[in-house]
Amino acid sequence: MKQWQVVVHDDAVNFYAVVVDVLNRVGGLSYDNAIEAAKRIQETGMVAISSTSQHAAELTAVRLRGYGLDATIAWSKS
Amino acid sequence: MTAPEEVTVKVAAGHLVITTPGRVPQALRETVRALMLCVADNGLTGVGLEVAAMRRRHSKAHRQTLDRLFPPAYRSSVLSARFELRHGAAIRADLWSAAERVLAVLDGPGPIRVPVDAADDWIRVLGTARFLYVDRRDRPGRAPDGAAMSAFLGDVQLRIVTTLRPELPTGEILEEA
Repeated sequence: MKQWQVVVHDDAVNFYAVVVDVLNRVGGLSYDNAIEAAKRIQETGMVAISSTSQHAAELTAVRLRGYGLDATIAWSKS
Repeated sequence: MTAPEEVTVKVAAGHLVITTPGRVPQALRETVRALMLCVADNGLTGVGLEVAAMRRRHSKAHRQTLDRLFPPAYRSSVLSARFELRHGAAIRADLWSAAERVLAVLDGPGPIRVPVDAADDWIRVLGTARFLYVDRRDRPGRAPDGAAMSAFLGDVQLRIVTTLRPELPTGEILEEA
């Protein structure tokens, strides 16, 4: 089945701690993985936090975007 | 806008207690109400005529604001349009409801008291309301009008989050750390 990624992008607005909090509480990442993901967003400009069905990816993106994070959905090539 | 250090957030008796200078609650009320008007779907709110009139007056600005609040979910415009059809109304309705609950506790005098289990409404509403004023890609060097309000909302959001979770790493704006 085709896999889809939720991609969280760097921005000029969100604070690091808030991104960690939202990725952890809302995005389903463990605390340590949320910290690592936030670091990677800073370093590379974006991070894919899940690879799943399109429906599940959209629901995750909806939740993250509800907090002001720049979360998009992309087809996973891997 | 108020300097961030003039705002304090603490937890007491199951509530977030947000202490601000007297002019801040009114500014927050205006911001939250502007957010509600922006995301309201006619018929949803009981203020449909007001929303419709506002949109007639400011249709282009309203469209631009919605674009900042809800940027495309996909690179593909077709997939983004489908995403909007599937989720757009629910996203706006959820945000409107959260904003309505935030507005309700801004009405009283004195420090703002928010039940801890309602803090998530504030984190969401403050996080989203910033995009009434700025774009995600705005850089500090070319900050537009409203940047001060956006920065203030972000700072209050950060204070709420780190008060509830003091273990979180402190840091800067995402792209500056």
